[in-house]
Amino acid sequence: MNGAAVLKRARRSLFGEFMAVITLIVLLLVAVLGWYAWHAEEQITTHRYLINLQEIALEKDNAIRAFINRQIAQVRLLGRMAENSRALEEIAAGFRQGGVDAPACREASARHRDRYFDLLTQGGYYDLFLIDLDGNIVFTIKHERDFGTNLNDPRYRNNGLAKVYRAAIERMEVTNSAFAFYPPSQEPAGFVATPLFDHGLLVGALAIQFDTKALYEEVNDLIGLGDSGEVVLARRLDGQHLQAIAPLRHDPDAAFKRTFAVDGGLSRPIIEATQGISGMGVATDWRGKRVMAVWHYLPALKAGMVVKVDVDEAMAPWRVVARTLLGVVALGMLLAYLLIYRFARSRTEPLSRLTAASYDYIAGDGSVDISDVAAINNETGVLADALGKMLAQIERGKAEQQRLLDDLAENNRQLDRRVAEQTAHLRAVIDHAADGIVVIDSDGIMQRVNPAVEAMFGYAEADLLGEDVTMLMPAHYRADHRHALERRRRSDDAPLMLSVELEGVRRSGEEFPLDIHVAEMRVGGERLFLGILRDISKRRKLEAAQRQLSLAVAHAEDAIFITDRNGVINYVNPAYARLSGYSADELIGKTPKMMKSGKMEKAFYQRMWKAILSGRQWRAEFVNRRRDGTLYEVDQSISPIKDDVGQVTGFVSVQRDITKEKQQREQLEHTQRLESLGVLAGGIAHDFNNLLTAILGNAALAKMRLEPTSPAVEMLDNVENASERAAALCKQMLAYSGKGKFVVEQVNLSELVEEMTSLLSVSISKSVVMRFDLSPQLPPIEADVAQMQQVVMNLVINASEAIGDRSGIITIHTGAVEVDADYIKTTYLKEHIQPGRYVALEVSDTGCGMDEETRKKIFDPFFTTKFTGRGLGMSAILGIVRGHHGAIKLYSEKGKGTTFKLLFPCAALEGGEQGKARGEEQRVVGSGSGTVLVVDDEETIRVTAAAMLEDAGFTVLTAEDGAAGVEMFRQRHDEIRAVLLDMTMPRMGGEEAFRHMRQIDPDVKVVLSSGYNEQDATSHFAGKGLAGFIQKPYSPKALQAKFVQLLAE
Amino acid sequence: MGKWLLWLPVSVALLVAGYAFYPQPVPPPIKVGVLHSLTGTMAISEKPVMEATLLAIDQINAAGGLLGRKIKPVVADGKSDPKVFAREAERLISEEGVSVIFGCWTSASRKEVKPVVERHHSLLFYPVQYEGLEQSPNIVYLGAAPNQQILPAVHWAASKWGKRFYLVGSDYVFPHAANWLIAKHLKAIGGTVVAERYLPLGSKAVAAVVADIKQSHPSVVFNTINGDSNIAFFHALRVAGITADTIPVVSFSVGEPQLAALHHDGDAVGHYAAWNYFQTIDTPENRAFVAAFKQRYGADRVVSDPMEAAWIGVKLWADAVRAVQSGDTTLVRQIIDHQGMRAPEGMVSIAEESHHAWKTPRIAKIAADRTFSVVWQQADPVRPQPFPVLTDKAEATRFLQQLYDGWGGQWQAPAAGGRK
Repeated sequence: MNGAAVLKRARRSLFGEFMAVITLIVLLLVAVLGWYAWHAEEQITTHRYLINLQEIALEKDNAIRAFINRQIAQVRLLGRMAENSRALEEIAAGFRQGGVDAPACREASARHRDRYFDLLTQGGYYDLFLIDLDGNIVFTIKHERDFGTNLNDPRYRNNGLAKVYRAAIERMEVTNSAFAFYPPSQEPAGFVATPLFDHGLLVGALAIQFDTKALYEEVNDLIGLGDSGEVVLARRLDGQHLQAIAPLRHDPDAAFKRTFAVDGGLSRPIIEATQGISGMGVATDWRGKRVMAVWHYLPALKAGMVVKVDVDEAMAPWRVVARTLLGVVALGMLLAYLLIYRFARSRTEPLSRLTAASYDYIAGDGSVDISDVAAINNETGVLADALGKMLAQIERGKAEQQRLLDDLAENNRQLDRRVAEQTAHLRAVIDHAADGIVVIDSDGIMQRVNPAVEAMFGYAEADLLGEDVTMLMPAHYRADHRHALERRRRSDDAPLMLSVELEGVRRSGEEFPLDIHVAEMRVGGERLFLGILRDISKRRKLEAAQRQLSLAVAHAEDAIFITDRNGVINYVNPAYARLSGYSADELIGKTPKMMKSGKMEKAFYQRMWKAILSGRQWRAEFVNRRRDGTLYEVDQSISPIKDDVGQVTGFVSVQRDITKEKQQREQLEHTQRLESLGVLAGGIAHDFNNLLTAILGNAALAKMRLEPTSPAVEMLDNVENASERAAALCKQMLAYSGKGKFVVEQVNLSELVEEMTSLLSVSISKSVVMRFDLSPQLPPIEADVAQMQQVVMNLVINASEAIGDRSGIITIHTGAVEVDADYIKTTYLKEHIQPGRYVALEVSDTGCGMDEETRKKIFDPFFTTKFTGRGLGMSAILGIVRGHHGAIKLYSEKGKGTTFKLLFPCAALEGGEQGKARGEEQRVVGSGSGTVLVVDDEETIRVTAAAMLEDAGFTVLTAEDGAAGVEMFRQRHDEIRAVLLDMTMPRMGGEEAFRHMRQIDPDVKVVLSSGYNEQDATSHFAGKGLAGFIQKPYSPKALQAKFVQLLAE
Repeated sequence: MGKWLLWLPVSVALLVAGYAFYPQPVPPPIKVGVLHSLTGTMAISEKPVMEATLLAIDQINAAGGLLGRKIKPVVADGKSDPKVFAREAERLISEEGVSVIFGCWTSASRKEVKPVVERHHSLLFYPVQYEGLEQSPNIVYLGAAPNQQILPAVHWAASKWGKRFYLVGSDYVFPHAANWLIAKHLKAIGGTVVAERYLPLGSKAVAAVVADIKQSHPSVVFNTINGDSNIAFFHALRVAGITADTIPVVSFSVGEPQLAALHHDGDAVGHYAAWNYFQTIDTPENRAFVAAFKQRYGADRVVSDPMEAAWIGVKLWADAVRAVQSGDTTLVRQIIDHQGMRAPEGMVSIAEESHHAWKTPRIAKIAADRTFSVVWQQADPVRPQPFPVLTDKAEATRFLQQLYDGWGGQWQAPAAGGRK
């Protein structure tokens, strides 16, 4: 196919597009401009024409008015002529004698007739009337049917003549009537009337009927209105119709015959004119033709006037101009089009030729001649020239290209050889790599594996190539792997490069950890992934072992640090950081010397270094110093760390904090010591009491046997005195040991102290003042009164002694306090009490106070600061308070004074009023009955308990130990309803006695009593049907209530 | 070369378009003068007329103005003094350059302004009924001429009650001239003038007149008293026991605003007033006019004949300006004769020969609610006749000159003067 044919087949040509666009632009411009010019010109022409028409209309208006005014002026003049009044009076006088036909009337008329006839012709009137004051038309020229009628007659009242007559008579004005059809004349008529006066007195009126033809001539003077113009005069006939009152050009018979409907859609100008609206514009007239019109209202005729010309005629000159303009534009467009065509053709044709030539060249015609185009002196010529040179260059290039191709072929061969060598090289590297190498395509299919992979997974290469790489993965990785591949396939991000640790699966199914490096490669447009795999199962095992080890150390309860051979710390575990108060960062890089307390000798450390440097373990108790300066003790073992050849490379120290352990141990030892002392003291005091009883008794007996004057009496008195002091001492020892059995009741401490006031006063130094601050609303406590008194007395005496001979103050304060766990920790005997409400007894002095050392030992037995003291007072207080489940708090400052604060638990509020005399409220007289057996080795208890139960109405038997109790029960068990059984007794304890009694009577009701608490006591009797328990010391009320309740069941 | 081809035509096109669409300068407003007494005894009557004038101007401006221009009213105060009227008219025309003046109430002020507008070939629109006997190419008279108000009333009253007329008026040119004409008219129909009495403008000394009326007992009283004196007059009448049943009074200068100012206890009820316009006229044009006025100035306000005439004046002038497409006074004067409109009172047209308007005479009775109820009206607008048939220009001129000279060269009795 040659170039020309190709061009013909092209769907669109440059030339065609050129022509289309330019033609469109020209057409659009001409159309828009033409349309605008046409309309503007039409509007301007219309406007000009209407202004012109308005001039004509105004002239017409003026002419009609002038006609009327002329008539009015003439009639007004007639009204001022005295002869007219005279004529009327004469004729009217005749008329009054017999109407118009009366001779007098005829005669008078005849006398004036000639003159009025002359007036009629001169004025151009149609008729002339004289009318008297009664409305009678007494004189006319024409003698039409109106002659002789009366204008006040309802038949004539509304005609034009009657109206102007009335205006003249009533308002004395000269005016014209509207133009209307007048029946007596059988044609349209208008009237003007004037009043007539005789010497200022109204006598009647003179009226004329003006000539209609003259008015019509004025109206139909159509100068300036062309061939179609006309003047329309119309009045309102009724609400719906207008009536023409003058002939029309297009309807000469229109006057008073043609009507126009108001709502007919036509004749807008005349409708508006009759409504009093002036205007101008283009409208449709009564014929339905488009007209240019100007309209006014004529008040003198009570009519509207329209002056109009057909649009066709008015616009005719403009139409000629417009048509010519259209023709010129059309011709101009034609010319423009031809010029454009010629121009566009001449510019696009060389381009077509060049295009064709290019195709021809491509098609193989090497001899293309475009020299004539190249001669054109514009872009096309330059293009042609360039094309020619280009073709020449292409020809030259072809030869060069062939040579280059040959060179290229040789290069390729060489390259092939080198590639083959390189490939072999690479292959060898891959085959001998220790790591597995796998290449997969973007579908996950293995393209290449190396021998290391075969070894690693246990497959042969042939088993792997072409297979999906997921076969080498555990099942749970496969989906992820496929998704990742899918994502990569769709992603255009930079090539992937990642390292992960995953598991692989060997042919045997064994899973093993793999270190995988994946790199994405683009080889020849294909996306491949290179995986380098390393079996790291051995490394993993090693790591796990190490992790376990370090975790063990890190979580060890014992404090551990590791140093190098020089003692520089390179590891501490959290426990050590906690213990020493230093953070790990502060410790690492330092030596343990910083923890030295200085409590240990140099030799100790030398021995240690000697031992550990020689590779032995060293274990010892160290006293070290924390970061905050406090000391702590550890049981530390230091082990050397040796390398493979047995060389010491560092040390590991394992320490256990034994600070607390040691303190506890010391505490325990102290307590045990005190306890054994108590046992000792109690035993001695018990026996001593017995001995003293004997001494005192014998001393008393001896005295009775002696004469009072015997010198031995005084000696015996000394014996008695010393014995009583010894007995008092024994009592204190018993109190300390807690063995001093006591009887509790509800005691109000405030009252107790109050009762002791005088006693205390005499017991203290004279220079000391006592102050009492006793709460009146104190809850009662359960206490032994005698012991409480002993406590108060001891404290006050001690306080007085602390003040000595100086003057000072002792204050005793009682009150109730809430005690919480924190507070309890600051007290002595803290292990015995629970948080709750307590009664406090506080004894303060302003004495010498105590130092730390004294405070520590204040309660130890036999510790005293006094030269004469026996060191039992404070220990007795401690024993008593312990026996009452209370606690002691001590405040003391050297040189300022001491305060002892004793806390006793509040008594449970069991009925009765507080503050009553002691013992009174506890009795439950007569509420029990039957026999109760009381078994207790302590006689005071036995007697007291018996008295309490008898008070409650029971009959009481007693036994002094378990065996006696069982025997008594065996004899009288029918009568005994309940047993109060002590738990610890010398001959047969409570437990065994209970067993025996059960054998005698399985339903026996036994209430156990003990100084131990209930749980300790009853644990030996679990499930054995014990009826109750009551803890010593007990109050009468508690005991009575227990038994009354038990036996009431 | 290529660059020139682009930006040269583009710049030329932009320049031409800029020239074509450059905004035309806004045409200056058409200035019109509004000249009324805003102070002094006439202010109470003239202010509402000024308001009606401004209403018409506002309405035209609101509808887009005139020939694309706004109308700018220049308000001047005549201070109830005819000489001030003359000075202000002079100032409005020569200093403010107004095209036209809307203004005046009393004939005294009009007669002072007349030579000013004539000298400057300017134009005055005068809105009040007057005594006639005057005509000027430079004044458009929008109020009633004698044959449009007074003379029909004479006939109407004479045929209704009899021909013994008692004439009472304020002591200035209009009542004198009006009574002169009434007297002539009465004489022509055989009636008599029982008495003719004048009160100084603003005077409250009505007792003597009322006593005289009661004593002489005429058929009817024709009242041309202007201004506040009417309040005292009607009150004294009622106090004297004179009611519309015994001696009816027909007033020619008592309009709606004056009615509102009367005592509230029934003074003037049953008496009559003659005007061309009453607020109660029921036409669409009047309803729109009253609503517009009330909306602008308050629902409690009333409109009267002179206010309506003033409003018509502005509208007719605007029509004339539109017809000649120019605010030029000379052109407007030429076409004003051909203007007419459907006014609130009915059809109103300017009569070419006299510059007066065709108007419709009406008589109304004062109702108890102090509104007017029309009892008689002419069927069609009446041709204005400034010079009634019973006199002529020469006689009228002589009569007026005598008044003028008698008052010492002014159009109202000197302040101290009582009767002529």
